[in-house]
Amino acid sequence: MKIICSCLILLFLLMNEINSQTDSLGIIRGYIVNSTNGKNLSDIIVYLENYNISAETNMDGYFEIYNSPTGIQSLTFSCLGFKTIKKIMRVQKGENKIININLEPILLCTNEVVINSNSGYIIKELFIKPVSHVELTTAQINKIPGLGEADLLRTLQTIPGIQSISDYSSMLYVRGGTPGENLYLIDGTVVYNPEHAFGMFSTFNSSSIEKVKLLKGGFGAEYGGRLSSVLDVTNYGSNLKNFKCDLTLSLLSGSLVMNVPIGNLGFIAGSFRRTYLDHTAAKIIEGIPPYYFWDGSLKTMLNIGNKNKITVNYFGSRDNLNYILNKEAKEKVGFVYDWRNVIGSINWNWIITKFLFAGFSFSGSKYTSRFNFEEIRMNELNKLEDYTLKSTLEYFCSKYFTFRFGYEYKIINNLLYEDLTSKKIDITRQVNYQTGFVTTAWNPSASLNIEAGLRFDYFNSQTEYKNLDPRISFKYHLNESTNLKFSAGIYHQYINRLPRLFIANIITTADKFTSGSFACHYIAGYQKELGNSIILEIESYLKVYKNIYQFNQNFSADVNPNYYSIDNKPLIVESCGFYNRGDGKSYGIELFLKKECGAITGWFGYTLARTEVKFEGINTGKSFVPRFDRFSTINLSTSVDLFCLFKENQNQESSKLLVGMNFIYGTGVPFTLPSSVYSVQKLPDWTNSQYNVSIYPTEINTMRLPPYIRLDFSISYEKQFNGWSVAPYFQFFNVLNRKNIWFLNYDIETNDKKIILHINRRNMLPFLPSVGINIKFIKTD
Amino acid sequence: MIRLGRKYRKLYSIVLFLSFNFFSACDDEGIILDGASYVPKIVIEGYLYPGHFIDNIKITRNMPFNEVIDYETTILTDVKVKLTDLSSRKYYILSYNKTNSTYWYESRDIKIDFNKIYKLEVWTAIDEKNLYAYSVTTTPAEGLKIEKNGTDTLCYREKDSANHLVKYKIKLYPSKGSEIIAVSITSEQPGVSTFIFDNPYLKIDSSDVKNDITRYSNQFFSLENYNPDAEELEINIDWPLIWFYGKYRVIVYAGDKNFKNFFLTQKDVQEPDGNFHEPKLDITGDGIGVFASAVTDTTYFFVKR
Repeated sequence: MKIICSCLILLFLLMNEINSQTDSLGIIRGYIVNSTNGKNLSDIIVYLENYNISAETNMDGYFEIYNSPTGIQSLTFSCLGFKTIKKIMRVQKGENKIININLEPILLCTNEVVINSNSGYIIKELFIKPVSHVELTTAQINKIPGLGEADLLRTLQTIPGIQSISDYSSMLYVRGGTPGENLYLIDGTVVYNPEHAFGMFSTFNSSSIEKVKLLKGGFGAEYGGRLSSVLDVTNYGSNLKNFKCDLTLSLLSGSLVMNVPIGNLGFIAGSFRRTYLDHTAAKIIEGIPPYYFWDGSLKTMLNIGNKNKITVNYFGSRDNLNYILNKEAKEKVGFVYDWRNVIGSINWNWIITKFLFAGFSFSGSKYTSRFNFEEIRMNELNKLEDYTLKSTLEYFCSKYFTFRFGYEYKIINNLLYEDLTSKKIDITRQVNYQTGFVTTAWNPSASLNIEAGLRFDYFNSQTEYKNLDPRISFKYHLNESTNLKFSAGIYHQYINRLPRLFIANIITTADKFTSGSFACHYIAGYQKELGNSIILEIESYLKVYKNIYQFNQNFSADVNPNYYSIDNKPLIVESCGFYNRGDGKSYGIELFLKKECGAITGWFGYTLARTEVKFEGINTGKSFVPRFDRFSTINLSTSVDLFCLFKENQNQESSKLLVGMNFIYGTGVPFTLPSSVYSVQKLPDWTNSQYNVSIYPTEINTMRLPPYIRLDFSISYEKQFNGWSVAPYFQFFNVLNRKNIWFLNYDIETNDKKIILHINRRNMLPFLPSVGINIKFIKTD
Repeated sequence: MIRLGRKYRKLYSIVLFLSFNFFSACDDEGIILDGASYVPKIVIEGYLYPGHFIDNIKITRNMPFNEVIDYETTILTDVKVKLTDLSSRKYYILSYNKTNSTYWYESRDIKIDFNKIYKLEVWTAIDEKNLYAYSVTTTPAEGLKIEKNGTDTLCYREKDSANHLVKYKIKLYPSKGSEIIAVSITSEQPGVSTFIFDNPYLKIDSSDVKNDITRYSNQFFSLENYNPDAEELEINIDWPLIWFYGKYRVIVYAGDKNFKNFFLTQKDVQEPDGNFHEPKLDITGDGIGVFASAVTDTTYFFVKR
């Protein structure tokens, strides 16, 4: 205790000393906004020329530069996709200078000369970004050919280090981690189920996304609760000045996004998307189930004076399958599967003093999955409610030090309820989850940045878990075009999203039978700016896992009842026997070549990776590679603006013809080839039924499927008119019509005392063309 | 910009041409399924029923995957099979019964007891490799009995006055020591003429019924982990288990732990994404299959149109 007090006093004295030094210099701070729509711009680099002093805007577009030398100073504001602005100003001793900047966006077909004028800033921007950081904008997501329509998670699957398991899944397997190990955030609030349609599409409407930040690993202490990655989605459309409406129709769904300014106070924006297959194709084509999903969001931002900002967010999504088994029968019998997300948050950002920036939020996130098949009394409800109170403080100490503190208090209610003919499962958990973190960024010189953080978790669900997670990262600006980075950290996770025999995942929390999961990350990176417009990033990583869980497929045999109902049937209220505990490790190297400006944009990625896991009760306890492990993956995603490429003096405001291409080559994923078959009846009185031949698997996942190869194309033509534009588009998924294998299954036929095995290839999606249209309206004052 | 575009236009065309050639080479590939290592195993299929003789214990072998297998060749006829009563240490060497291709204790003076522990050991050689496997089962206590309730005839999907489905109910008294109640429901008159085509579960034509007749005529369900102190249990036979009009035989097994593990895990080893996991088979050594014990009772009911 004495040591802690001494440290705090020392820290206080140090800060006072630093502040007193600061008083002899100047401070520059303010907001940066998009000049066309007035929205605040985050992650903008601001630097003082000749001094190598820089800062980055936070989520609200706010920046501060401390210890600005006095006198005439040249301040540069730059970001990809915006015109670089230089501002000359006089800074006086002790002055607290407030400056608000409007950045003007540039079109993506900006010529190479503009890029050259910004030479050198890319690597500076990359230096400020954390390790394993990927950022995407709506425009980039929309340019990647998709399955029917642009999809955030499917776009992210083209980034090196991120694998998909099949065409049917948009789930992200980040550096050997499972989808349940990713933290999904919408405007800072956790989304527990980020997929629609059993994983085929993401719940994030790409038309409403403003920016996506993905941290593939090594993330700082401000993020936690997951082992693998963080996907932070900033939802759109904070258009302060103009009314804007964006309507998209595809074969799959229709989407509407609107931005409405509220005078000078702020804005209100909303989006809604719904599939219509249930009202169209399902009524005509036999076999298409009456399934639909919708998602919608609402965001309001109000500026209260210069120092306060209130943001209110809502996000909701729902998937529903109401399936009739035999539509031609007189009596209709079916089941209903319904799952939903509801998210709401209130955020208050407050500039307390010239050194202190605070953010407070209250949020709720609820996931519900419900299955009802009354005919056979099969009812399931899986629910997770998360109510979070969060505060963060950013303390700009000096040009050398920045501190960030945060505290989060969560109450989580989790329920897994199954009412079956033979048993009842009722696992209810009320969780008290508290987190505190502190991070500090230290710049001992202009070319070195050290960030250290500490995260403390207190998780109480039947039993207490207390963990301290240190995180550290080093960034070294080697020369004008090269950065070196290193990051390491410890991560804990207490909420699991587990795939299982049923079609939807279940979400559970740690308890006395399933402890918190643990991971340790080590990441080394190299960044190089090539030719002023191309970025080369090479990263290698090692992740070590402990106490990871997967659903126990033999749980019916392993689970022990805790109580019995009045009719003597088992009642299970504990999770003992539900999961297999395991350990694992993953390692790999990734190469990422990215070009963000010019007529041709896109990226090339190569991943060499390996994941090994070991689970109790699986593969006789021996380690094995999981199904999503790919040794080698090549990604090439490009977009060409043909008018910009081939025409002279193309007017920036006129039409655009974009051709997108996406190519993936991945070595085959592992699968298990049963070593033998044997004949045993399922029940002793049966003779010669189809159940009498069984497959006996030996070692799991020792074989590999053929390579996965897929080529997609898209073409879109955008015609601009006065105040509105129209853009029809065509998407061609898997144009080679390659029959990539999803998995193999085995049919067994018994005939004349002969056993004949049929191996069936379950293929992924064939060539799928689709068409859609996007219409935008913008009303300017 | 224009200068750059012209300079690289040829290069773009070449890259495009080469790319298309490369992509068109990405044709479908077959799978060579010869990598799995076959390990010979003794396959045991044996159940002990208290009050019954020791018989019908099948000993076969597993066969390599991806081959057409003649079932007769899997039967092992030259096997040493020993059953030991672990409480008395008495053992019985079983012999091969040619009439039904199983092993039995030919002398009919021994019957299996309730609540006893038995060990089955098997020695043989497969593919010139000596193999040994054993398993232990604990027979349940006496007591399983189905209470005949007299209402053994139902109309298909009959409803009561409150418009609720009427199901065939079985009230039974379980055996102590059993861990599962497995119910085998077998149609005694399966055929196209008796098939219930107007069922609300599946649209099916007569050729599919012919091809898969055993799939529809043999149905099952189970009740596991029930209260071991239960005096009585009531189970319902749901209508999705009924596919034919006519007479049904219902055999109820009160099985031990081995019965439960085999019944619940042996078949469903492949997960929806194609991955595999091992079943829980309580056989140690070079064996797979089931060696379990159960007490049984039988009843019948009739489904009319």
